[in-house]
Amino acid sequence: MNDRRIPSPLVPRQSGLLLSDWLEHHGQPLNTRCGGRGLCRGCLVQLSTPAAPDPPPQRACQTDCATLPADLDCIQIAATSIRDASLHGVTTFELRHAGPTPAPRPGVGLALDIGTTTVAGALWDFPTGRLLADASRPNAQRRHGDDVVTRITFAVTRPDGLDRLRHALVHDTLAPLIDQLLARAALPVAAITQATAAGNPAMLHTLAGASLAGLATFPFRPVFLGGRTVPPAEHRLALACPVELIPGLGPFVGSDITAGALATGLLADDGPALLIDFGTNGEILLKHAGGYLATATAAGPAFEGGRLSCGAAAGPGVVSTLRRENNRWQPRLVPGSTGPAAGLSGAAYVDLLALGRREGWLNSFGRLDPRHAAVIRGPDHALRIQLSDTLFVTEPDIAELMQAKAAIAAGALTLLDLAGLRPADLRALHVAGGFGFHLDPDHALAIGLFPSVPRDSIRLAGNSSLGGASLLLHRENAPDLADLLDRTTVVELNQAPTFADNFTDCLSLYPFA
Amino acid sequence: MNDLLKSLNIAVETGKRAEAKRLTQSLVDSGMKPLDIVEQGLVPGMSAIGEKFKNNEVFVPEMLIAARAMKEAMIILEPLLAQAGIKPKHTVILGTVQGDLHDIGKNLVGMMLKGANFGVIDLGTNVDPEKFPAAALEHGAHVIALSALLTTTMPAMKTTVDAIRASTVKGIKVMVGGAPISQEYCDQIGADGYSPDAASAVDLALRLVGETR
Repeated sequence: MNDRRIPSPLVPRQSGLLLSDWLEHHGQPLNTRCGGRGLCRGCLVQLSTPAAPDPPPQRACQTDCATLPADLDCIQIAATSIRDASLHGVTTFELRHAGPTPAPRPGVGLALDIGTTTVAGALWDFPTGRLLADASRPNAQRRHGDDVVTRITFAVTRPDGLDRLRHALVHDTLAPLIDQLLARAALPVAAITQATAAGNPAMLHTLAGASLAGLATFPFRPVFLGGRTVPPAEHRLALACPVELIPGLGPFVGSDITAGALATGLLADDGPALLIDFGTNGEILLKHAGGYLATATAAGPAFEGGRLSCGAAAGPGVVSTLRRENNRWQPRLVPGSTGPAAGLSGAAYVDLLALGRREGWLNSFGRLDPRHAAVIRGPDHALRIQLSDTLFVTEPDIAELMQAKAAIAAGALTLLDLAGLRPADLRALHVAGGFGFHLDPDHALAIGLFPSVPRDSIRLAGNSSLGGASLLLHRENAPDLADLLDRTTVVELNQAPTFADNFTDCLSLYPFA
Repeated sequence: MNDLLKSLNIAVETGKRAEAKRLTQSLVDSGMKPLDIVEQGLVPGMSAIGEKFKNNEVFVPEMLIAARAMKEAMIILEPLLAQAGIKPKHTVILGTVQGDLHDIGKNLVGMMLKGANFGVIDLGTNVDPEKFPAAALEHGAHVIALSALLTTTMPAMKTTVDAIRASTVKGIKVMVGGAPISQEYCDQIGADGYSPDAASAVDLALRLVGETR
């Protein structure tokens, strides 16, 4: 990995000041994904001194600056500890919705997709129907935890928790994103006449300043689930128009899925169809003869590179595609970036698993075969795949990916069970989210991440949440949503009778049952 | 007979559930006592994988797959054990705390405990605090094991420990586990023991009832 070195840092030896906070304020934010509680390994740093240039890594979030060594030489930050700056593909979407063409009208529309990890926006010119600008940036709430549950905990356990989450989202994320969009379109903020936002309930609750307490424990009781219009006096943005929050389906199945169902064309699909939105939470929507089934499945951060030795979100300098020719690894970086490779994206890991199965050095339980030339023993004597001098994949990495894969696949399978369907009954599979953007569908089928459907029924939709939020700037498209909201049943997977068994079935690296 | 037992060990350890079921049925049909099948056919396989797990030689997916192979075998054996009037020496009340629906980790702990000859009463998920001491009283349990997977449901673990301490059940040991739980949290809420994974949970339970292996 490409580590970052901060030579002779002038850190004040101040008691009560955390090293992670100091680094954050000095332009070096770390992956404090557990919210700085010392539970994860996202903020590991090495404190080098002349006597010990390569000390064991320690958590910056648990390091009081007063305890730093007096002769601190440099702070080394592992590449996996550096919080990702931007993601590739999050502003790309395809609109397959075949609704009425909206009538030309004056004004400019702002569509927002508020993801747990990344926020994206698009600016539309109503008279021409043209896209004026798009942009994305990381959600600054990540400093308070990289998953929704950690942030909810933050909001409900600290008196100022919700306010700080809200400030991070509105002031530190949405405001600069909107500025960036306006700068690209060369427009003043007053030009925006309408705004829509899609996101999971926790994100939309923080935007509206609503309590997250009802999302903390089962039975979940969000303050609102249906749409809500946040007036200018309340959204704390510079916009003169209200922000229309798109209605969600359940406590953890947000309006990103509502919007995605519209943008992908799933609502108009003929026959059973599935939408899988890969994010920090995997969200799944099944269309069947009797209506819709929706669920959220805890895939964890593995597909976004979290918790993996060399994992990284698909940003510049990260391997997006992995091939193997004549027994040699051929990593390809995210388009537009140059080497050396800084990490592996989720899509590259899926490539690796599929290639390992095909070439026979990876068995269905995720174990590497030491007899194969691709498999070596690392410095820790454990088996690993060495892709380059710095990039490698271990068996614990593979186990982590298998659990993420099983969460998605078992979620899909459980919805199909409840509808009395088999994977072969599906007429279309829509794959949304930044992860899907670089994904090789054949490899996803080979390891059983996707239900076994014909290759040509798989559609990579990109950020369908942003696409749907864009479509919903036009009221002509709203009636389609009403039907979806009326006929959707939200499934709590842990209460579905077949989920646990499906999860165990889906752990193995076989194509989908 | 020994060959069949050896094959059953391997079937459990490698997670071959159809094989585990078939071999267990063969052993039952051959007249072997159900308790002997558990102790000689299932426990060694599960213990082997538990040890490997603690040593970082196998990982969660393989543990879950092995535990299910054992579960399939236990479905055949449990009614026979009950029929024969076999009662395990120690009983554990197991459950996920109120507000939390996660049960994959909890079920794995349950399977590992059964594999070590504990009687396991699984109360399921989202369990009211009062139900734990009530079940302990009813079943004469020696240990209560609590699981929580979310940082948001950790406080319910404390409420549950308080409810157990306030109940009429005396001298019972409480063990805790789950992704966000730590030894520090365990001490803080006054539980008797914490284990970081399902394999260590067995060692902990044995220690809490005063046995070592």
